[in-house]
Formats: sequence, C-alpha cells, structure tokens
Amino acid sequence: MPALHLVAASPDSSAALQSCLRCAADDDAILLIGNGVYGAVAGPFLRSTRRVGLKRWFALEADVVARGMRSQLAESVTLVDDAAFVDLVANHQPIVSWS
Amino acid sequence: MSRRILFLVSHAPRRGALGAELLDELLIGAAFEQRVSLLFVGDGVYQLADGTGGSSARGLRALPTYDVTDVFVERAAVKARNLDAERFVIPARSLARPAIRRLIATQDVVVPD
Repeated sequence: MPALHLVAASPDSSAALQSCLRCAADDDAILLIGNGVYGAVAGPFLRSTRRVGLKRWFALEADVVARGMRSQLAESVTLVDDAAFVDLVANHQPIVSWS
Repeated sequence: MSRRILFLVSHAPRRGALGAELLDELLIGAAFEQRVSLLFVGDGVYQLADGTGGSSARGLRALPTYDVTDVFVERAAVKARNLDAERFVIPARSLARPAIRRLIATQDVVVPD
C-alpha cells in the first residue's frame, strides 16, 4: 500500500512541502489541507513539482473554497471532499503528516 | 502485536516541548516492544548537531540505553547544512532519498514532530 502524505502548511511559511517532496515515493499520494492548499496554486505548484515524479495530487475542497483558490489550482490536482479524504486514509499506509 | 513506528523529525530544536514529547513517545514505544526508528530530515538534522547540550541532545543520548539503534538521517540535508556527522550527539545512519522512501514505505505508523 502506498503512503499518503498530508501537507498542512503554505510552501512559503514552512519547509513542509519541500521535505515531503524529498521523502515521498512516486506512487505515493499527496493531500494538501489547510494552508497547505496554497501549494496547489498553479504557478507555485508547477515550480515545486517540476523535478519530481509524483503524480497523485489532491487538495481538500473545503479548504480550497474557504480560501477562494478554486479557480487558481493546477489542473493536475484533484479536489476531494471529506468522504474522499477518509477513503484516501483508508487506502494508504503509512499516513505521513508534514507541517 | 509489534508495529513498525517511525518518528520523523523535520524541525530544528528549540520549539518548546515538542521535541521532548516526541522522545517520550518514542521511548514508550520502545518500552512496549514496538519496532521504533527515528529519521531526521531537513532542518531536523540540527537536532543531531545540537552542541549546546540542551534537553533534546540529552534525550537523544539516552536512546541506545533503550535499545533504540535505528537512527537515520537525510544525507542531502546534512550536506546542504555543512554539518559534520562525526560530531552528531548520537550516531545516525546516513540515507540517500531512495532509501528514505523505502524506509517510510515499510512503516505501519509515522509520527511527525
């Protein structure tokens, strides 16, 4: 079972996303939550993920909408609701939190 | 049931009680015969280089007493900070990124600092 990485901090306020990118395997899933969703904004997302092989990107829809960022997300990031969040947690191991 | 638990340190020391709490959890895990290991990444490697003899360094020195010997460090993070692994407060095995990914993949639980 691949790992699920939860990133909960904005890429400019914390090394969370960068540390996660170095430690995640290519088939792992990355879920951006809280201020972590700023990492999915198209420009920063493409810059930070240009050199990594990660393909499974998710962002928590409620956190994206709360920040008014929905129209600015990178296309390769999938929005998930709370039920899909639970499915991701159930289908991955281990769960790794970065903040 | 013995589970594999990785304690993942990615922050520098001096963050209040957080470092000490992680060590407490780790030692409890070891005492209950869980298969615990410890990995330092990013700024977390500064915890290993703490030359001030602060509480986190003292806690780390106790780990071999509790048979916690699976201590790992991100090789690139040590190099990027120009640190001397010979002077770390406890010995840590240096891992390149593919080995870090394999280490995480084999865990049941990962506990962040």
